[in-house]
Amino acid sequence: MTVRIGICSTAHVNAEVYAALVSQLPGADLVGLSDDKPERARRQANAVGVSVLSHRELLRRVDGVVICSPTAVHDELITLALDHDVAILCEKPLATALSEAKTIRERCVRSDLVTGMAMPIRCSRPMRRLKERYESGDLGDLVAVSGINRGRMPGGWFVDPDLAGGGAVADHTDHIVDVVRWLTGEEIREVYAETATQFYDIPVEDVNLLSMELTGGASFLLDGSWSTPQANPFWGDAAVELIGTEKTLSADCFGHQFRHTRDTGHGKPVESVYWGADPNNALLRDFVESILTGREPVTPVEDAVRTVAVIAAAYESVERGEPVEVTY
Amino acid sequence: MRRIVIVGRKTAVQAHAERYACFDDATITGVVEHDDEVDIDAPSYDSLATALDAHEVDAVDICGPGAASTDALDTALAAGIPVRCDPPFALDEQRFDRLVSRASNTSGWLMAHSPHRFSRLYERLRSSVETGGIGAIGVARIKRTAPFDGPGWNVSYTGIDTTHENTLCAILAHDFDVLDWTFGTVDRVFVRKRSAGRYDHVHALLSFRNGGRATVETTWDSDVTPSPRVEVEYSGNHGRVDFSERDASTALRGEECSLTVDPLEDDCRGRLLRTFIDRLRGVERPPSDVAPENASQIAIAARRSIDKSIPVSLTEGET
Repeated sequence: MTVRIGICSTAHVNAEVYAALVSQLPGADLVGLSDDKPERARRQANAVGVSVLSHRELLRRVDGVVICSPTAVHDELITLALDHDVAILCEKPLATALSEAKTIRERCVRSDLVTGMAMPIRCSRPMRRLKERYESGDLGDLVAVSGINRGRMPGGWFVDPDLAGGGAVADHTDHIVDVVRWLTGEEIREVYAETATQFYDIPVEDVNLLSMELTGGASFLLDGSWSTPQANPFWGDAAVELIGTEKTLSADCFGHQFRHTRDTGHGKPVESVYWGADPNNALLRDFVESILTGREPVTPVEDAVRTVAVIAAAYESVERGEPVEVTY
Repeated sequence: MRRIVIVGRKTAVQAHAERYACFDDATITGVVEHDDEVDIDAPSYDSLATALDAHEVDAVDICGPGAASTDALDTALAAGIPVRCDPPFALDEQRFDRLVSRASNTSGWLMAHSPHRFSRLYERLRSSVETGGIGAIGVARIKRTAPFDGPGWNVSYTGIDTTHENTLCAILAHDFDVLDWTFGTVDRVFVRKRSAGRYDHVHALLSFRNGGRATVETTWDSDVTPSPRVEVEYSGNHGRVDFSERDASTALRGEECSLTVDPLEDDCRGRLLRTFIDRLRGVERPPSDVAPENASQIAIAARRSIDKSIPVSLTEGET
């Protein structure tokens, strides 16, 4: 059976990536792209040979959609997809506020449809291997966690606090918090956040440093800043280090890189090229398989709500200037 | 010829003695060591007071953090003798105030820089920041298992106290010093510490007065000397500089480990000790009799942050 997939909104930078991958995915048929601004989607649609449709038209024709809208629009598009009995894979974070994330979760649970979050890091092979090693007890008891997930400042709606719910904290807390919860089976108990706007003249924070404590007592430091220079040869990073009582292990999702230096006078002169297995591809395969089998996708919506709770606690910490206990 | 008494643990004392031997205007007149006898051609004493009674002494060099040798620091400053040590020189405010006051009221003075400041690598990094190479600091990030290379470095810290947090704060103090030196005054610090099994770990979030932020992480193995490992990254609004231990240590390698290429008198510690001797020769007191103060103040604030689980402001006490 071929699963019909659509990309709902192309506002998110990942829409283009997902469209290209789905169009090549065995067992999947990329039906089309939808957007409130069809002209924005036209180039991407042409690149993969599909049409630009309205959201409703697209939802009438597909089994599942990948929602790539601004965060503030997730609620509306998720509702629309649920109304059309369409499975959902939603870009992160789920919502701009915890209360909204909880409401979305309740609707998703009631629908009984496949609903999940686009968390490709859980599909990263180094992370999967790290999970195996952690679960084997190699590390002993967990003492501390250290994570990085920096990136280039994306601009556009990502720096509009109304559409994104904030800046680097909203955009770059999800992946590593989510994967650490998944790796360790623990929740984030407390967050202390240091934020600032230091790199760009934007109305949101570009520095995102979180000091956290897990429920088991381990400390957890995360740098999720938009600190990667625009001229950097690679977009950013995603890495986790687990320090145990016996051993320390780390996983670098994008460690498989080679450097390409061009002397041709066009294109970027120096580029780091990732050659490892693509976690986005694995994420989309997982989504298609979930639709086929009805099982939960790799990151259920419930986990997305928990990450939004951490983001909310981080912003509260900034406001109060002290550590804040996470309320789920 | 400057007459120097060195104080500390065997490995560190030996390392300093080897460097002093390279200088023709300094000599070691006594050794006050905390453990086994060291192989140095100088008399050994069980306390600094005894050593000072036995000799004319121009200076005292504490090999390791000053806070690990509190008696020696007190004794030297009370006798009006200049002292050099690694940061932090104190772990609480009362002792910090007492030492600063003592240094100011006697002919002694205290030099407590991190050796990192005398490394050509950190000097170049600082220079590239100062000349606008990365613009205004956004985030600095330092992650290390060890502040120095060479086996046995961690013995310098074992006397600092019985608690791991003091050891960890003493290791962090080197990075606090370099960050303060490179990016300016630190305004606020928040620190978490965890200790269990072989590993202790601490992470610190720093907020600079100029708006920049930094993270410093240290993993400490209380049983064995960990492989030296360091990652340093300074990101500003006009770029980034970074290095890792591989960049820092692979100039010469043999049998899986890096080998020192600088002569002893010209590595970071050798250059630090050279500066100390030069300052003695010129009888030049540090501007505030104690320099630098900030790394130790941040370490004291870090201890309070760990203890109370709160961010601590350097200027106004607890936030």
